[in-house]
Amino acid sequence: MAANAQAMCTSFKKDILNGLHAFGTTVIRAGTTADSFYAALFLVNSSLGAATTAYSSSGEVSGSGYTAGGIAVTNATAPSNSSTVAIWTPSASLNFGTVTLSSAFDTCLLYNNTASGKNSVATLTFGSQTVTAGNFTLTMPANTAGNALIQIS
Amino acid sequence: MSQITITRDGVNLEKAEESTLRKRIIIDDDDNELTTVVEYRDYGNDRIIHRSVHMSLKKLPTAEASAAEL
Repeated sequence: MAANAQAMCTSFKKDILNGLHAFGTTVIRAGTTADSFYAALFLVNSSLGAATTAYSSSGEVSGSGYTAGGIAVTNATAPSNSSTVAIWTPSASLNFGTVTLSSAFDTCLLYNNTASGKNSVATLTFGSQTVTAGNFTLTMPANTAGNALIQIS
Repeated sequence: MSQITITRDGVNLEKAEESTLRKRIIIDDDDNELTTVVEYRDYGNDRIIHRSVHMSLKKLPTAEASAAEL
C-alpha cells in the first residue's frame, strides 16, 4: 500500500551540487557549464577548516614547481545520487607534480575557481608532509555513497 | 634503469640514475589516511634529494541535509 514519507528529496541534494536552487541572493552565472575547481595546499600553521569561506594565498605553501592557487581539479563526472546520498568526486587524483615544498603542509583546500569570490568547498587534512623534487598525490576515493569526496547525505 | 628527478640545492632539478641512490620507502597506515613516501639520498649523505608522497584519505567531509519535522 502506498504511503507518504517525510524526507529531504534525494534529487534536491544533487541539485544543490549543481547550483539549481537559491534560497538567498545568488549570482548571475555566465553560462551553464560546470565551474572550475582548484586544489591548493596550506602550511601546518594555517587555520583552515569549516569556517574557511574562500581561497586566500595566506598560509599557502610556496616552492619550486608550485603555483599559487594550486592545481585544477579534473571534473569529468557530474554530481549524482548514490542511494539517497548526493555525491561528487574528482575524476582523477590530485597530483602536484615535481615540486619542492620544504615547509611542512597538512591541508588541501578545494575551492571554486570560477566564482569571483573563490568560494571554498572543503578542507582536507592529513599528516604533515614535505616534498623534495617529487610529486604529492592525493588519490581520490570511489565515487559512491560512503566513499565519495563530497557527500550530502 | 630508471632516472630519478632530484635536487641538491633545493631549487635546481637534475636527473640521477636510481641505482646510484639510496632509496627508502615509508608506508604509514592510520585511521585518517594511507601514505606512501619514497625518499632518495646519496650514499654517504643523509640529506634527502627526492621525496614523493602518495596519499589516500579515509575520512572525508560529509554534509547532512535533513527536513525539519512538522
